[in-house]
Amino acid sequence: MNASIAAPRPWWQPGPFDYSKLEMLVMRALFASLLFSSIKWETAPYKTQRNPTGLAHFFDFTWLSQHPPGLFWQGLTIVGLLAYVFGRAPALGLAPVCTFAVMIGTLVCSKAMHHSWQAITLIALAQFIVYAWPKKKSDWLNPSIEVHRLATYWSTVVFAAAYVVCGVVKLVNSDFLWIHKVPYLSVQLLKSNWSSYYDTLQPVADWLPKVTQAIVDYPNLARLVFGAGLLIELLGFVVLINRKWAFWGGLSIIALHLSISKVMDLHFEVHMGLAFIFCVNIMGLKKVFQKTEPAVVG
Amino acid sequence: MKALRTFWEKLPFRHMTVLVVALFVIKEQFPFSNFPMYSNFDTEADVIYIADQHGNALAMDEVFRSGSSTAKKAYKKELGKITNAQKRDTKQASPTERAQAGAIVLGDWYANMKRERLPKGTTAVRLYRRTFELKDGKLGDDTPELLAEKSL
Repeated sequence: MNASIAAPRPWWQPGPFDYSKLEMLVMRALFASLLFSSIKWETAPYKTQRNPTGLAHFFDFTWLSQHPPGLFWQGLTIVGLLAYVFGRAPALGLAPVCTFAVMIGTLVCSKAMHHSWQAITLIALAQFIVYAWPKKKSDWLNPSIEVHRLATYWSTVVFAAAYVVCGVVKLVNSDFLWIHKVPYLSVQLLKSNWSSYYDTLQPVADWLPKVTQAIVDYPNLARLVFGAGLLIELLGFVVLINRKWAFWGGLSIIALHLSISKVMDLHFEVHMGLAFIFCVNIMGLKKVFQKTEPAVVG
Repeated sequence: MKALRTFWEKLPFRHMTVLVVALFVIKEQFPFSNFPMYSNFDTEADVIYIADQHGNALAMDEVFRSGSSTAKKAYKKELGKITNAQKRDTKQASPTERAQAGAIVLGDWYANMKRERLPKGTTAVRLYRRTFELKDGKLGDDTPELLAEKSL
């Protein structure tokens, strides 16, 4: 896990990029905002753990429904995140937010499984581990740029793994017939759009019957379109290769989620935010388009 | 040990690859997940919703603070507990078993109901299951199945 400048590695053995201090400051600020806002602080409706997941197998978190974390705990979390953003004792700063993200996420998902919070919580935990166990003691309070780069690298590793495993599971669970079964997605599209209707009573889109029937009527075209989505997931690892791949890979993932939002009315804002922060990396655009290949830190 | 080290050093995208394997094996244990959404699908798909005593849908987010897809997942879990005990698939559940699972879910949602947000004149809430189907190249849906009812 050494992150010092080293000889370039082969593309299939990636390491941290040469992120600047400013790039990572912006990344941490955006990530902290996204992480805090993604936590479902309103825990009152989650009175039971009927379907326990993760730590809920060992601990009862339903007390959170009686005592939702109020201003004090949220304030403490914000103070910790500010320390993290400015790179002062970031492990300590991340501790409250990681604790709440895990506890609340576990409670909410123990009612019924959701998939909005896993990736962001795992990224927070990965960063916490990097900052909590640095190589040098001095890095604990005031981490060097290498430690920050390592934390950013592991964030991208977790993000990429989430997409690759999602693609692999699609292949395995469908007996490698996922592409073949794409026309059946039409039924899922009807389901997800009507599900949104029952949430809000906002009418389903006029185009829904036409699009779903088109998927059935033109199965190969549908396979091409939805197959591209599967390919983006399976090739999620490319965001680790270099800045260019990260940028285009991140944009592809955002485009994938935007199209899913439009067609299926399923919204993954947190995942899009993560792709924007760690892959598109707005502060690093100049380096993406510069002619010489940016250095990869070993 | 040396062979293992060589393997580790030559493993493509080694950190990510190991994490992918770990997530695949651990499956759904928050915060870990293998993200199995839409990984396998059939010619049928159903939604769960809550309506008033006349069968008119209620805005679940507003009234119950928890939506249709969450209710569906909770229903499937409850139904799974019933059918798995007899080593059967949820698709083989009887109407009675579906009603049993539905009653549990409606009970949970009822406990979080914001009564003041119910339309005037509501005297009961009902849990329905609506199934969409692809049959002979045509999409359609059946009359929603009433799973459970609870008077206010």
